[in-house]
Amino acid sequence: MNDTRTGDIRQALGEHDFFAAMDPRHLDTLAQMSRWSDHAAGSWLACAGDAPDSFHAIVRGRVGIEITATGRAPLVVATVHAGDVVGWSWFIGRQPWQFDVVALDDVRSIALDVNGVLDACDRSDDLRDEITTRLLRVVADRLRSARLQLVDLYGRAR
Amino acid sequence: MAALVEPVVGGIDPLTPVPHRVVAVDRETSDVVTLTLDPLSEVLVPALPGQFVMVWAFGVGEIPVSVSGVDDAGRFALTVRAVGPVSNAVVAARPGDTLGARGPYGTAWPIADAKDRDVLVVAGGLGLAPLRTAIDELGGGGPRRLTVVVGAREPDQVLFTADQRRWRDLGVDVQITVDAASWRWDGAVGTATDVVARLGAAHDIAFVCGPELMMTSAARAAIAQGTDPANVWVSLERNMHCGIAHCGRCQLGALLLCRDGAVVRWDRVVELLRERGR
Repeated sequence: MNDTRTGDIRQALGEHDFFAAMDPRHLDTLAQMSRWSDHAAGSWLACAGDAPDSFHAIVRGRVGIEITATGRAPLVVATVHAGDVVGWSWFIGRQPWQFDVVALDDVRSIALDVNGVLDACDRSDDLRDEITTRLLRVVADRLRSARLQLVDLYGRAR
Repeated sequence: MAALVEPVVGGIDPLTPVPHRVVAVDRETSDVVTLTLDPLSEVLVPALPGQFVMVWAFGVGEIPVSVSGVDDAGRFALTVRAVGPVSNAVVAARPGDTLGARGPYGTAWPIADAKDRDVLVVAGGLGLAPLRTAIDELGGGGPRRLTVVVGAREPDQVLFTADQRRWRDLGVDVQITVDAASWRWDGAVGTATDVVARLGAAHDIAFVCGPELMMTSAARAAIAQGTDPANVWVSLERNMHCGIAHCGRCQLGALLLCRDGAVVRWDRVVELLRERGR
């Protein structure tokens, strides 16, 4: 379920951890291509293979990054919480969503239009650097977590 | 000639196991049980939070196990995962069986240092066992704020769920995270480090226990949040054997962990942990 209820998206962007301390001019630009997006618990924000139309800055609730494989129950491999973002594959060659993203609670996010953000980055190297640096931080954190999970820390020593 | 071994309180030879009867067996997960032991003769000195005992499965062998509960009558609890011959024998014990125990040994969590401070406890997997009595003490009052982060592989591998409810009732902020789960899981999915990084506030003191890789990662996250490395404490295991710093099998640098650990200050071991093969 999506809607575009009014709210001060510009202010919300400025208060979101992902956009913290970003140049106000960039926040003004990004606010123009942002909308509120609400998702009931159990609904999907995106499914693997979907075209990358938006990425989400989570404001309230949790979303799960879920992997579904034939013959296996869907598995949540990471939760993304308020203050974090979900969806970054779009930034690298407009790749489609890699995994399903399910709302685990009633979720409110700021949905940013991917094409709008990419066009704005084409017009501003500074904005591109900002977005790149912040997304790299997200990717690095997810990579660290994935590596630790891969080790099966809590399993039997090998 | 001086005695090789000094007697401990009560005159119990620290190298002689004292027989204990298993009076309760609580299955925590598919391969982890908590045994309650009752002394049959001498009563061991009550273990402080974080200390361990050497447990004998007669005819099989001996292993170090952290004490996960104590009472005033000399009973104590041990939470054990079946991973080898001795631990399999211990986990297989039934009420009425007899096990040997000697100790307690080693250092304890610095509970007194937590008074009126913001305290972070991070436990991974079976690492919650050595912290259980510490959280019980801390949850009873002392810290200004107590946050407990628990990591496990899957939801059904989370230990002490009843205790966690009790801790929450005491006002403790308990956050659980698992490596993977179905969408029905109402906690977080990810590493304990992720949760620590999300807390967004520095804690005055941190107690961390779990697999070494997890402890290293979580300790660094706590320090990144602003906790002084000198106030981060971890619990390290090596091949504890004698328990009294004589055999040297638990050596880590200049430390003999059965005496100088298991609970040690992070800044005193961080460089040792960086060396391969330690």
